[in-house]
Parts: sequence; structure tokens; C-alpha cells
Amino acid sequence: MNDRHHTDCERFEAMIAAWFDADGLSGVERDQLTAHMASCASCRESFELSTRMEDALVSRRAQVPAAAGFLPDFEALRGRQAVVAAARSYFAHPRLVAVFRTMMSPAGVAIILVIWSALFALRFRSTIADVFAYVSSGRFEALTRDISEFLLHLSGGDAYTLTAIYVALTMIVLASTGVITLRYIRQS
Amino acid sequence: MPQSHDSELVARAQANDERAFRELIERYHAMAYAAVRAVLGDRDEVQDVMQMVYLKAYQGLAGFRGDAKFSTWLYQIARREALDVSSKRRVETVDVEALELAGPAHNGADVAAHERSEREWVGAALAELDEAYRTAIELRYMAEKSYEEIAEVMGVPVGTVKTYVHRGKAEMKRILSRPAWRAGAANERKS
Repeated sequence: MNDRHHTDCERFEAMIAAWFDADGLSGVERDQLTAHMASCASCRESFELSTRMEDALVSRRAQVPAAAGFLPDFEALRGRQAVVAAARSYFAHPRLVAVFRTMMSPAGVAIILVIWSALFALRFRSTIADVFAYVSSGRFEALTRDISEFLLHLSGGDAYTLTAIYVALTMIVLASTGVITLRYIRQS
Repeated sequence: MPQSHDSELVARAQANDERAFRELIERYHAMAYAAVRAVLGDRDEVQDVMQMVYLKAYQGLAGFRGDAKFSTWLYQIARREALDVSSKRRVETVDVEALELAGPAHNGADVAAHERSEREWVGAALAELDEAYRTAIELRYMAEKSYEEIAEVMGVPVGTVKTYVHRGKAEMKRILSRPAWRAGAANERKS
């Protein structure tokens, strides 16, 4: 008898869950459940608990605060976006892009080398002809060593300043390469 | 039809129409909030995460191509942000067992029962659920979404959502059937 009652309660427990579902129960099932609960304290208690839980869950909707409190400060964002847009338009300027492209072409690299050599010559040699003679002599290793010495001279012998110069030069090369690469990718 | 309306609002928002953005957010705010709450519970971080969600949505809107619905896109941002915060800072979990011990075991069945609001009562049970169950229930009740809408944003079949909600509620009921909660319920009825 008890087993039978237990089995019935399991079935009615499923009906209690269905009572609160969107699909719900049929009228007949509702009547059956109501009749059962009239004589079963356990199922009645279960139904009361489900009702209370359902009410508490439904009341959670009221816990949602207004969206306005979380929205971003559009005015501040507009200002920031304007700065970013200006920077982007600067780097996207066709002439600047053309300059970067030229710089990265073999001819551009050659021109840069010549200019560097010329500047180097102005610092250490008397004439441009000396530079060409110097370069054509095949002493590039000496050239790079001299550049290092020149940078050391610029730094005044301070290791931190020298490091900063190297880092700055490296960053310039990397940034230029990065910008140009991105431009190529976007335009291709 | 709501979808085409969303598309129109998205297009306007992408053209820097702030009112359109606000309208979109208003429309799906409860869903985003429920998604964050499902991960973080009732924590202080929820406020900060919500602000971050809308900031990222605003900044990322230009890149939204409409491959998914706006609601799904926003849900994913909300969930990602909440999970990010959750992983960085271990979220305290509500220990229902401890609450029970603090109640009847030491101070009698009625202690603290009247202080537990319905919100804490059901919130503590929710906190013990698997995250998928909790998310489905929060979206269903807190955001008042249909099973179809929940399935859409969670990326699972409708039947799975129904199972999540059904099993989640059954598990909550099992948790809330523990003696301390039942005693608390009885006391609240008396008061």
C-alpha cells in the first residue's frame, strides 16, 4: 500500500513540475493532482514549495536594474574616437603611404643607405667622394663599427643613453615596417 | 520581424546613432544582465562587468557583420566578460550548507529565517546549480526569454534548454527541501 502510494507521489511530483511549465497540465491532470493533494500532505507540501520557488524566480525580473546606469559616456568616447580617427587618417595619408612604400622598396633602401652614408661622411669624412671610395673599398664591417662608434659618441659614453638610442632606432624601423605591412594587407 | 528591426537599429548605431544603440541595449539589457548574473551571481563585480559589456559592444559594433543575431552577439560579450572576471578573481560561492548550520543547528529553527529574503533564498539555491542550468533559468525568469530565444543565444537546441530549466528547477527544489529551508519557509508563513 505504501509502495503504491510512493509510486503515485512520484507521478504527482512530475505533475507538480509540469504545473509550472509553459506546456502545463491538461484539465484532467490538474483535477487528478488537486484530488491527490487533498489527501496527501507530502505532495501538498511539495506543491507549496514549488509555488514559493516559482514566485521567487518570477520576482527576479524586478532585480534587473535600469540599463541607463551601465551605458558608456558617449561624449568622452566621441572625443577619444576623434583622436584615434585623426591618427589613423594621418597614417593613411596617401603621400605618407607612398613615402613608406618608397622607403621599403629596394631603391628606397639604397637611397636611405646613401643618405646615411652622406650624413656619416659629413660627420667623419671630408667629401662625398670619400664616402663612395670608402663604401667601394668593401669595408662595410668597418662602416658598421664606425656607426656603432658614432652612436656611442652621440650617447656621450652613457650606456643607458646608448641603449635608448638603439631602442628608439629599432622601434622606428619596426613601427615603419608594421604600418606599411598593415597598409599593404588592407589595400590588397 | 523583430530581427529586421534589430538590423535597422544596428545599421543606425554603426552610423554613430547613439539613440539606436541605446534602444538596442534597452531591448536586450535584461538578457545581458541575466547572463552576467548567471556567471557571477550577486557580486559587486556585476556592475563593473555590465559597464564593460556595453563599452565593448559600443566599440565593437563597427565590426559586427550580422552573421549572428545582435542578441546572440551581445550575450556572448556579456558571458565572456563575466567569465573573464570570474577566472581572474575566484568568486565566493554561497554555502547553503553553512547557512543551514548557522540556522537551526545552533540557534533553533527560526533563527535567521526571517532575515533571509526570498531573493537570498532562491539565489543560494541557484548558486549551487551547474552553470548551464543556472544560465537557462536566469534567462527564462530574470530576462523573461522564451525557450526559443534562450536556445538561440546559448547555441543549443530548444529541447536542451527545456531540459536545463526542468532539471535545474528540480535540483533547486531538492536543495530548498533541506530541513533548514523548510523550517525557514514555515516561519515566514507564520510571520
